[in-house]
Amino acid sequence: MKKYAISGLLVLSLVAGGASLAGDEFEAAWQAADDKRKEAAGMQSEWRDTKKMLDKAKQAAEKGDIDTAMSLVAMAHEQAADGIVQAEREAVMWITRVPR
Amino acid sequence: MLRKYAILLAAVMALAWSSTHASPEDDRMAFEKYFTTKFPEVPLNDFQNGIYSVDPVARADWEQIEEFPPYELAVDAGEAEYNKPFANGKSYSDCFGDGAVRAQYPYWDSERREVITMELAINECRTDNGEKPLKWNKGKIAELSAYMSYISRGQAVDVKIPEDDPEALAAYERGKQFYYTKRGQLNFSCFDCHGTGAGKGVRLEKLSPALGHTTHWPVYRSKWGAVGTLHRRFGGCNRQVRAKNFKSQGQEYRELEYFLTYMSNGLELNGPGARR
Amino acid sequence: MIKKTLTILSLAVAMTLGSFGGSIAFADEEAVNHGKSVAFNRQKGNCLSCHMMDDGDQPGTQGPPLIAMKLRFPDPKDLRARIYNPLEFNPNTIMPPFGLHNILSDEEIDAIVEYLYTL
Repeated sequence: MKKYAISGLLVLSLVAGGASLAGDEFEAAWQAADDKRKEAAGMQSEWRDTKKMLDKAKQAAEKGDIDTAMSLVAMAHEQAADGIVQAEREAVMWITRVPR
Repeated sequence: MLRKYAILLAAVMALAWSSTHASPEDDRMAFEKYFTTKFPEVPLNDFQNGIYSVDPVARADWEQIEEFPPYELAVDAGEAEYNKPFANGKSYSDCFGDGAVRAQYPYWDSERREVITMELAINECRTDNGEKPLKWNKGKIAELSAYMSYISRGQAVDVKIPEDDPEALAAYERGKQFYYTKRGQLNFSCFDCHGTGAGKGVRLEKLSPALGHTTHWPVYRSKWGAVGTLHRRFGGCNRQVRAKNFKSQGQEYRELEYFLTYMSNGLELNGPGARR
Repeated sequence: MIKKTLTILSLAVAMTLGSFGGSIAFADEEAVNHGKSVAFNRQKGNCLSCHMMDDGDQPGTQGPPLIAMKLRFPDPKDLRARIYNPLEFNPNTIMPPFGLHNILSDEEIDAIVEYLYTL
């Protein structure tokens, strides 16, 4: 946690000039994406690579590469959200494929 | 886009209403008809041979392979394991008699209110006798399953959905919904490939028809270089469409097996099988 | 047999489209090449797993052969939409929604459309 905050600060001080909350922002974004992933899983609609993206995002953040970390989190979040939409669509569509 | 779905939704609801009134036996007959219509040249009892029922070229290779079946070693190993006593002096035969019990699985256990598969029963036999459970996908459990399937050859698939237990029907319905639901980034349902796409090529490989899919498990897959269980294959299929796989012998796959095996009722058990 | 018919068919189509043929030369050759590599790549479009197309080896037969694309989809937007989200046209299609599910990027889909228009 502290580690992210410090490494995030290093990167952001170069890029944006001093926003000190990059690490916290990453943590919050990561948590939100992971919550979405769990929501998709609860609908039996988690995708294969979402967790891997979140794991890689953590690794990138630990190395201080917040840009990569944030983009991986965004991708994971979108995957989870797409999986949820897919499950909602399928909840009504599946039955149309049953041979009759 | 939204409007499109709304219109569709109305159509679907009408359809859903009529379909919830289809009994498992209605489902099974329609399922069978789907494949016998799609492959009119294939005799019904040949569907238990999976892809080889619809791919004459691959079938010739397979018939050669079956002359020296690659699963033979696994069957032997399974037999030895089956007859080896547990530490408490009992053995698998105390749970399964002569072991030719493949046709009894999967079944709905009304007391436990869940689907019991043969692999689950194998591990429960172990733990009931103070032995450690085996890993689900390959190794000893697949060998035991191969042996028990081998000596069960010729029995007919006969999955029952007890009519006096609505929870059994609910488990079947959940397995059915799982089967037809698109999932994963690539957005495929089981049926998309093994119904709609059955017999057609993906690159050079033809997709196997779903009718008869469960009769020949466990399977020695050249790709695996060993025998593996049906749930191992379920997991592989789910990952191929870029969905997160479910736990082997978890509720999802057991209910999927319950539904899918019911669809092949009446076909002959011919496991273990050999596949590419 | 099918292959032969296809060759003849695509020849015929090429001849009827003769007057449009020139426009291919104007297409960004780099985009076309890029589109072809994305289409053939197994980790990307992997179109060959289901469609016969161009000089691709070992094509699958799940979907229709990809020929005469300009004739079939005079408006590139229509072709693009069918790759981006084929569910919009048929909710039971087995073709993956390459754009909707981010299997390919927008830029990769554009390149594939450029390439498909040369078929």
